[in-house]
Amino acid sequence: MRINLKWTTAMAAALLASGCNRAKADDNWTADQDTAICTDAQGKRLPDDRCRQTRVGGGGAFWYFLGRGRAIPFYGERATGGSFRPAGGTRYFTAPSGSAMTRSAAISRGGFGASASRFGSVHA
Amino acid sequence: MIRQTLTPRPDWQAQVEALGLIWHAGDERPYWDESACYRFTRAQIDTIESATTELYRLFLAAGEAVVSDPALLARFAIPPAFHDPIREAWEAEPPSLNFGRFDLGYDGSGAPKLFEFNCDTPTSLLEAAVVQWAWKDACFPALDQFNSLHEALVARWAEIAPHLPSTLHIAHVEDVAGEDAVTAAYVRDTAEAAGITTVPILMERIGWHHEAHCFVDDADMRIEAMFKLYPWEWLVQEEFAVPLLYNLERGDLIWIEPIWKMIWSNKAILPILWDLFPGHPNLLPASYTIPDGDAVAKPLLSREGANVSIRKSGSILAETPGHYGEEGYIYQSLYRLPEAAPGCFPVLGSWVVDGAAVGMGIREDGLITSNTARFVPHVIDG
Repeated sequence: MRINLKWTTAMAAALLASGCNRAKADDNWTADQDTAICTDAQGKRLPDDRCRQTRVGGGGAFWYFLGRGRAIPFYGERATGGSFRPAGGTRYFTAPSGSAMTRSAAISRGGFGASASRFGSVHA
Repeated sequence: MIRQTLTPRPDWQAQVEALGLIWHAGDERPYWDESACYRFTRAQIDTIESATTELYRLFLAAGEAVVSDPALLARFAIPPAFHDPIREAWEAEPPSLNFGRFDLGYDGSGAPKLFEFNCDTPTSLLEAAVVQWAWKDACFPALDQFNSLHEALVARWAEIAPHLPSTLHIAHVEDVAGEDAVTAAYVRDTAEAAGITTVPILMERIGWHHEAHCFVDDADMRIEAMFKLYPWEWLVQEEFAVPLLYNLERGDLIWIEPIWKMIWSNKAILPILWDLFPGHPNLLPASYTIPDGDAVAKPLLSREGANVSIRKSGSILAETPGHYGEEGYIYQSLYRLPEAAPGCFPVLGSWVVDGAAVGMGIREDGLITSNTARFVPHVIDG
């Protein structure tokens, strides 16, 4: 029996390399350096131009400061894990242009999969 | 049927990991347990194979009875809105792997007895199809094994490939042990061996497109066919249940396995089988009410032996924990599993692909086979 296990062994190797300690799947961008993004007063992301075009706090746009490794949200989604105050002595960069996008409003996700965390196993 | 004690290969962990089996460890003993094997005669394998084929015939009849009788389908604790999609899928027979694992009690003589049929999300697939075959080749190259499971899966994919769209999505959830991810990856390998293009996706990343009224993947592309390592009884209860119902009515996504598997994989089928075929040698008496004699209580929808209890003379002898049972129980007569070694009770998992018996895996545990069971390989003498 000659069996091609390309995906099986690749997945197993990846899981072993990660120590089977995987973070929950997340499609947000991750800040690879200290990053400043523009948000409204609730922390929901806005285009950076909104903060550049107005004085600080003017027009309801505020810089929000994310440390390295934090998630960069899509436009309209709430930023977490950062602060409206920059850390002293830290140089902040703007977010990558690829993260400047809105999640498609026509698509909802997350409607399947919740039972696995309740019951623990799909196996039969 | 003899249990033989063996010395495991010195590098067995590396050997099974190289084939993808990374969840080989166990709490007290390894899950992949090659410190023993079971040896069968050819006649015993013939008996198991015949019983498997016969049980598949019984399930066909029972499925027909259930879809034809609303009162029977009502026994299954399935949301009524999904009854029509189940009936329609049963009649239409959309493309499916139609694979499953009959869990059987067998002591080497007499007729194998059915415990249940795991045919929606049956696992121990990689172990049965690939890892135990490689073990046999390494340790007993001159002997045979009841195992053509891998070839049967590839052949079945090839058979249904002409009826599938250009891309098949393979969905699973992330689990700590990696068992789901690797098993789903193995299913990808079997499909791609049949020439099917596959795309993996996590269940929680499946999207519903409100304007196009379809399920979409991470790249917002419409999902047209999907193998899901995720049980139907969860799908119909989750947030996307309403879009799912709409999707099933439109019929523009091929679900593998199809929704009619909710009938066969539900333990409510067991009393119906006994009613249809009373006294059948491969069945155990089963009922919806507590019987007088010794019995095993099983939730309709539990997985990995959770919330199963053994009742003898009105008292509970053994039971497993879990979160199941809200949907009700069935009661199956107690079958005395052979104690092949102290504390080792084997349950046979006889695999079927579209009606054909194609292989076997054996799990050992205590009186109730649960998620602490160990996979023990087998060979055929002669």
